[in-house]
Amino acid sequence: MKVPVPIPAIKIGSAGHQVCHPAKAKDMVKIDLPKERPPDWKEAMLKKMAEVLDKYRSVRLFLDICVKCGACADKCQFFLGTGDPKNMPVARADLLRKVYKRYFTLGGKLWGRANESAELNETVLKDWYVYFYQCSQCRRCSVFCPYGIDTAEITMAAREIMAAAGVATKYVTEVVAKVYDTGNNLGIWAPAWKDNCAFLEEDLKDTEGLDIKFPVDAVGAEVLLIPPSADNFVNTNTMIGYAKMFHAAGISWTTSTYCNEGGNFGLFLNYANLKKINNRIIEAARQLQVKKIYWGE
Amino acid sequence: MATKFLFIYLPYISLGIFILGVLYQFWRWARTPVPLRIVIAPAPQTRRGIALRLIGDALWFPSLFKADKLLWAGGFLFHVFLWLVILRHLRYFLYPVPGWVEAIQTAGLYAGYLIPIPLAFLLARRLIFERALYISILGDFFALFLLLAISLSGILLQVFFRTYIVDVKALILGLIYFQPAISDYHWLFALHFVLIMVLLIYFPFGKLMHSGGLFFSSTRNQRANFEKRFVNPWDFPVAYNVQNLFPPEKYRETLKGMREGKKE
Amino acid sequence: MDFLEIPYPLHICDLTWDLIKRGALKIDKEANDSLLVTYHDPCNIARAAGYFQPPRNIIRATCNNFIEMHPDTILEKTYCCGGGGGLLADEIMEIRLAGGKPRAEACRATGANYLATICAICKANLPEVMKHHRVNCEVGGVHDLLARALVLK
Ligand code: SF4
Ligand code: SF4
Repeated sequence: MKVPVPIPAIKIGSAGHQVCHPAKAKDMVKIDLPKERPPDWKEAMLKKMAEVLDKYRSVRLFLDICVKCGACADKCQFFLGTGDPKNMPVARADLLRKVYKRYFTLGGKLWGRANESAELNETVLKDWYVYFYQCSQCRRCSVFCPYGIDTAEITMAAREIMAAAGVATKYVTEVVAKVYDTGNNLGIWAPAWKDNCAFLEEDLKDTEGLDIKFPVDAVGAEVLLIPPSADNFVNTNTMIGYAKMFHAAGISWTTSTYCNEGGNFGLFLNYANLKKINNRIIEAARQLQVKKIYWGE
Repeated sequence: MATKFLFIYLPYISLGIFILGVLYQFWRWARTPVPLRIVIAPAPQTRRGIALRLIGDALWFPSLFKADKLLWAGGFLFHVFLWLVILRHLRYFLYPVPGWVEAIQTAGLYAGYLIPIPLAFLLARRLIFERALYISILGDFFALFLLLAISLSGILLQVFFRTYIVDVKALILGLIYFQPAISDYHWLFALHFVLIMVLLIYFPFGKLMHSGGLFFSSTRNQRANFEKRFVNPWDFPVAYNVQNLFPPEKYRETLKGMREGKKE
Repeated sequence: MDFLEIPYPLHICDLTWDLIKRGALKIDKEANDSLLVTYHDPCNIARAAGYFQPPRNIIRATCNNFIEMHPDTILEKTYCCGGGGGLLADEIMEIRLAGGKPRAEACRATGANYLATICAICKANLPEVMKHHRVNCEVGGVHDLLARALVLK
């Protein structure tokens, strides 16, 4: 396949040093996860793994049926960028697959190494932590796999398994914790959000002479807009775009300080947080009595 | 005794393992719930569309075609030849032989002669291309060598050591009707036969289950009907704990306070 | 969720494109004439939702110069910006830059000077990527373009 980047040669371990900082205990507590890795982390992870396998057909199936054809191997941008073979989607999934084979299939229990299975130990866990946090769950690999094997599902499963034993990254847990505190990923408190909106209003008046409102928490508006919080802070031009559009079309709208973020980092962690974060969208809509919900871009 | 085991007990055992094993795997997948919609766009919105897409996936591997033309050619040729060969062999299983099985005999024969070519290619690429070599495991080579051995022994049988066809047919029909009758077979035929039994036994437990697994794959068999709510069978209510400082009630109070205070 | 008219969230581009189609917005395309715009499909808006056309439609309606990137790098074959999936942490900047490389190269090949996208994470990561790989291209939203082209007076 002709891609704008040449496919790199394999460079074993070339991305192994790119490790995320581990999560802080205070964030883990806030999002209902174990503070730190317990001494029996291995059992905890295997227990979680059994649960995940019984809950997600995709995970079980995808671990079972990969034929190692390698069609996905050169499709991951992280492999194209680094050349680290463990960033090939199939090899990334293999990190989990080997452990799955060892503990959950007959072949692994009987033949062990010959079946290419692996004990869950520190080395394996380290690989998991490094390479499952080098997958952006973009699912590009799945487009090219003849069976639609979605390495993102595997990554999510692996992260859920790790999270159950207190292993997660600082960035993701921090963001989720911030969402619970402030309603958005950037950790913008309600007063600051309102200030920003007021600032944008003034700015528009000063520079373009336009009188356009950026409503916050307006009960009874027609549309609840759930922008990424960055739109209020960094990509303010986008926010101005929404406001102008609503203004021109004469639609009443509002943002909510309870839920001013559509991006859900719970997805990168586990199902319970995913759901809790999404629930707050519905709650916000209910409290504000809006008629429609729109995502920002 | 050995003959009796190889030609009477082994076929029943391996067929039993094959059928039970495949059913077991299907059952394992079928009983595991599908909690989320994970379609990969563009996906059809109707059941019919999905059925057509799955058939297409199974017959000519469009995703693989997108990914890697060379590999697609190898894999596609191998599977076509394999089907022709299997269908050709039906003549040993059916009596009387239906007309269409007769009709594909020649094609099946040539497919049988040619099948080692894509197999050899599939094997060679695993050894030559560094990415393929890196991800290959023992099971991949085992399956390829097994298939190569089966096809080569079959070709030799066909070309040099023609077994007495009537004997073979009597053996298989005997097995089918539970009246096994065995006679003397060439050792090469015995090899061919036993290798196929090994294949049957191995089939449910390795990568070969990709054949059935495709149809269970959520990214391929889900519809893109986003308007319809997707219900998660094991959904559970989420609890706000004390550390989650911002439960919905607090927001309600804030809003109420704002309305009463009319500050903003 | 029965209190909502539409019981699921829609994307703002749906609304905008609908308004443009109905002629409810007055647009001066020339305001964007200094830009050569290309569009980056964010991974899961493209692959999970199949949301390909509305943003493109808006860009076409607000800009005169729109160019697609290489067909292997758009639509469902789009690349990740390199920072999705919780990777937007500073300590793994190297990975983010490496992961963004395919996108940067695809963008360079078009010669575009404005890369529009509708994902906040892409908007955070791609500028870094562009800077690192020395692609001279501004990264921004689709509604930014609308904001520039919308005639309000
Ligand atoms: S394309 Fe699919 S079957 Fe092939 S190696 Fe990748 S995940 Fe496995
Ligand atoms: S889902 Fe993960 S493994 Fe697959 S292409 Fe995207 S980043 Fe790579």
